[in-house]
Amino acid sequence: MNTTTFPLRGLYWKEIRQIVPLVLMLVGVSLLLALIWTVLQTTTQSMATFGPFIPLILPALYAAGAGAILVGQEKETRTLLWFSSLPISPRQIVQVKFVVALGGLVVMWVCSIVVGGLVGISGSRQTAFMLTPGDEGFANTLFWILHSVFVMCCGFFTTWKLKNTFASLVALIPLAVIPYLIVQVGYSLVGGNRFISIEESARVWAIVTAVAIPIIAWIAYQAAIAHLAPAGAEADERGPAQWLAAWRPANSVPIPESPFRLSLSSLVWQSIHQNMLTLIGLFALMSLGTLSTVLFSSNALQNEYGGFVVGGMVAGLLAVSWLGVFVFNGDGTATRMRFLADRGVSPTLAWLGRHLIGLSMIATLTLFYALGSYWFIHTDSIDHEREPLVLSMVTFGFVAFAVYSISQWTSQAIRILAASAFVAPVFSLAAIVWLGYSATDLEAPLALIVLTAAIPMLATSLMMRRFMDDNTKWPIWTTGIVTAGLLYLLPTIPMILEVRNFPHIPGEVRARLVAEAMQIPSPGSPPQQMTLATPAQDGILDSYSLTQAQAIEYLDSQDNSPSQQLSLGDMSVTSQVPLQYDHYAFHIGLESAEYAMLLFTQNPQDETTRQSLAEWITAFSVMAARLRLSDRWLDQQAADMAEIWLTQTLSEPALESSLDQDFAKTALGVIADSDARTAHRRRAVLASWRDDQLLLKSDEQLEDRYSFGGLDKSSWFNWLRHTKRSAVESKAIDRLVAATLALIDAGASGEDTEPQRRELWLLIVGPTFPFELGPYSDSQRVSGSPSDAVLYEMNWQLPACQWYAPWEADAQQLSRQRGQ
Amino acid sequence: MATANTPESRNREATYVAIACLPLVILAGALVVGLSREWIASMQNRNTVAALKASGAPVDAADFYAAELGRQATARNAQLQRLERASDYVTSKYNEVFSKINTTNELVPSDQPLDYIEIYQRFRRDAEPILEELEVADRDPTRNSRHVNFGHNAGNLLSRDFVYAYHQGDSERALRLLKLSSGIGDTILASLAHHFWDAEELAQLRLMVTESIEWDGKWASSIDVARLSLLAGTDGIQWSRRNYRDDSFLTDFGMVPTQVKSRLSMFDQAKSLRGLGSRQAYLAAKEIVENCETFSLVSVPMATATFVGNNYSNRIDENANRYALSAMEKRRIVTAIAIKQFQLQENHFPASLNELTKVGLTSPDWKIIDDHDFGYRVTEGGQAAVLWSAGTSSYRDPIMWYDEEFQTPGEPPSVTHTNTQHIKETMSTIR
Repeated sequence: MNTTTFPLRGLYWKEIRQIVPLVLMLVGVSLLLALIWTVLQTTTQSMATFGPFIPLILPALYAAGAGAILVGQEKETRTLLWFSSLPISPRQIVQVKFVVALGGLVVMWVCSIVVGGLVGISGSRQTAFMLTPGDEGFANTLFWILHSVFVMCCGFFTTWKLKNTFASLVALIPLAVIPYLIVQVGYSLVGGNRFISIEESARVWAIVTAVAIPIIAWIAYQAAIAHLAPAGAEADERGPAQWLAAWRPANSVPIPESPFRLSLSSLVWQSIHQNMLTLIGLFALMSLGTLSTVLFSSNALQNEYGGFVVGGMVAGLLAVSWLGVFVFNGDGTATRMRFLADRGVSPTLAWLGRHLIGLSMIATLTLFYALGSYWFIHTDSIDHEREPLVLSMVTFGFVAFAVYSISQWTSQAIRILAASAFVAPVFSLAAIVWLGYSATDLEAPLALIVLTAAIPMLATSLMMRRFMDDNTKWPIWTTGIVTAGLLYLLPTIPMILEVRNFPHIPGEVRARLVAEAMQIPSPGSPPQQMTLATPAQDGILDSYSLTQAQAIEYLDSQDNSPSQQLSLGDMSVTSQVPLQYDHYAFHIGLESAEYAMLLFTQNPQDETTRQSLAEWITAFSVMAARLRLSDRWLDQQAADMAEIWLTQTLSEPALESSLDQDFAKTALGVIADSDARTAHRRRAVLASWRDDQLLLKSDEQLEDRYSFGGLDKSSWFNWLRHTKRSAVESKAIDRLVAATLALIDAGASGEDTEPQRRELWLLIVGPTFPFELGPYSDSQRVSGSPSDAVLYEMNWQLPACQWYAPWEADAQQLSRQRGQ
Repeated sequence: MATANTPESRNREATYVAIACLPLVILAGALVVGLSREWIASMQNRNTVAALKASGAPVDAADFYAAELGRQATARNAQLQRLERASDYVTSKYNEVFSKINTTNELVPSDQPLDYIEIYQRFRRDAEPILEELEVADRDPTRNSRHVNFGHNAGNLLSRDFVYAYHQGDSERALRLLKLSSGIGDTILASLAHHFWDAEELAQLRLMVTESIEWDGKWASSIDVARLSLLAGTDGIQWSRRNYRDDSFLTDFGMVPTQVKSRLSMFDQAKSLRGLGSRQAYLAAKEIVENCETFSLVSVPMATATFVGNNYSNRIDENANRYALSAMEKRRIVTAIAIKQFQLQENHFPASLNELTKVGLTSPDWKIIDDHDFGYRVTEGGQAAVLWSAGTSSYRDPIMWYDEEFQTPGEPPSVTHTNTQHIKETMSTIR
């Protein structure tokens, strides 16, 4: 290539080399965040809400850091001075830096769209990218893009203007919110009380930002030109005093008594005076964050100044994070540390000296927060109708400490100020979310959470000597990786141990049961679902209103007989077609049967009422017999309910004289067959388990995932919290199946089933509920007496809750009395 | 530490360190104070719970579950539940029909036509066996249907049959139905809009309404339940998580001992409240709740426990408010019945509520709150009397009017309001 055609090629190459690490680092961080989001979004609603904003972080951080990298870093390394010896005009230098930064921003936007696609943010989910004009989010997206350009220009302005790169980053924050403030002030002056939509606000923000970009770019350009222009001659005095200055004695500077003492107090003094302006700026932002957090408690203020309050909290957190970055990446810190190392200063002392001010600032604001929140809660300014949610002092202090801890660790590992200044807040946020998730969903003890948050402090303390010596970076990075691993792993250890120690059935027992379950043959006929019958006059109800004649015609068609109420198919108790339970149909049948029973007990001599009840007894006999044939556990429980109703109804004294009739004999035959009941139960338990295991291996529909043989397994094991429950569910189900099979064996052989019921109670209901009061206790077991029917209905879906309860013996007894 | 011989610059540096350390020391002190307070409160709670236990009060999870099951056992009288299933059958059968014939259960006097009367007749035929069985149950003290939650459908069944009995002028059956029902106030007030009851029946109605509320026992037991819920949920004395309650992030860490202590104290104060059903009792309960200190330096994540304790704290003042409202509503029903009694006895409506002393009513019975009488007016020609209160459409409203300067509306709500629901709830016409 002919170099004369592109004389600034070398300069472009240098600038691109400078900016590439920031681009790569930010892409890496956003991919890491996207990965965390994808992992956690299924369990944490807040992560799902936060997710769409991950890609937007990328260009925003880049825009803020570009100036610091391309200008600030060169100021620190003084390479900018070297340019003055080269035949390049200041205008060209500024132009090249700006073009490279703009190109990088375009790359970042492309990357953010790619990352958005990777985590599935576009499509049906809430999306941050709505680029099609006409979409309601278009103005929003346009504002984000324009604002990133605006922030980049602001970054150039502050870094050109200010000598100190760190101060230029702090100064960037108020400049970045200028368009937002202009719009809000404008609305408050001319907007009146009318409702302003987000879309409208975004449109106005975009217009104001578009206007502000050339203005700030021009100001930044002027600052750059001024900085790159030749410096004027230094003169202490002007006018006649200038002539006298040469004759005046030199200023005498007092000589310190011990100029090279290196006590903690000297280090603290140096920490403060190294850049007091930056510390003041950070403290101001942190104070704003503290005040905003106090105000956040007020619903009234939140409604009125929600944006400012949240913005203040974000600015406060950012300031805490930068306070952490300031520890090892304040201007020239590394050089000063090297200076101290060369003079034999203890790394521990240096570490303490660097941290004392930061920790003191956090402690001060935590105390102010405690006072502020106490005052706020105890004044009448809060809305008493809605109770305030006020973070406690401990929580506030911990969050600030954790952000600081992570940030100072990041700044020791990443020595490029602009990179660590933007990576640290992101890491801190991720760490806070992770620690919160650990404390709640993973149930990590609070002490462990605090210890985990303190580990980065330990890591920087251990690496302080190497940092001061400015030695090879690998040990620091290795320690960083170990620290990150500990941050991730430590909070999970209690959960891992608990899951690991959760009791489970021995492997050989499980293998035997699996083999038995796999050998269960499929039922001969496909099962039939019970449904409601459709009466001939049902169509009448389709009309909007009825005449009296239509209403009477409809009521006449509503005969209280099983054939009019239910559709059961084959009405023979010997049918081999399994029946499947339907909650609504079964209970309509139960209500109709109870009404028939009521009419019969009030008038036992009436043949019509007797016949009506006989039909229902026959229908329930068929239901019980055919539900038993089903492989679903739920249908076995429903068959129990039908048999209990039959036993209790046949035990009514009013029916005693009718027990010799065919309908009663059929029913007694059904409830007497205890061997068949046991065999069907065992088969259904194993078949339901087998189907559940197979289902777990395939990705079936959601509702099926909560079904265990038709029973709702999502209501089981809820004494364990969500994450732990999910982790041990498989083991718990194995135990439940084993305990139920043991209960069947014990019940069938006439042994006491209490040990197995205790195991089921412990698994399903949990240890906090006293067994003696619980649904598996003897007091809750149903007998064949009519007065117990309702007790059973309450808990009828609890697995095996009423198996081998007294009603079964009563049913046998009743049948034996009648010679069945 | 800098000494007198230390150079000045060194002194300044030492001052910096001292200033930097000061907030850390104070913060550590605040933490120690906060933790100590929790520890002391934990000990005190332990003693309080022991004392409660010694006095026979229910305090632990087993008591809580036993109480819950006890309530369920009362509600699940098997015979009544079977009866409810039967009544579900009847009401389900008729629900569709009644919804399509646009009936609203409005009472129609016998001198006006009742639409779809044949449907009501068939309904009575099908519902009669259930009504008979309910009366049998009502006579049995162990199966008293009015003291169990008999269910929405059974309530429908009784109110629909009441409409037919009212139209037939069958006041004897109507009275039987009211005796089996709960929440009879609106029905009684509506039934006074026409001449339906005789003097003897009105006296029985007044007795039924007067006897229907027993304040002190309900108040004490509601506080016991609230305290039990608190102690069962947090173990009272432990710094424990509420793992078994719900999955919400905010409730993960439960209450700290100081917050439990303040609530136990609040329950104690509330239990000694007297004059329940009055505005004063409500205001006193509100003050107790507002004075309950819940701020803690070391609770996690929030400084206050209001988000976990709302149920317990609000129950006190909201219950007191509900009691005051119920008492006021009861007074309104009794006053309306007394006006009707007065009319039957004197052949005209009373000119003012003060005249109700002639039918045995005393002054506090016709007050809304404090010194304010219900609104009362006899229409022109003396054909009807109108009685009104200030509005109870939601329990939040009265909180506002209790706190504000309260005045009985000078005009009946039908004059000042267009909201028919509000008018219906606050105004009764007696003919």
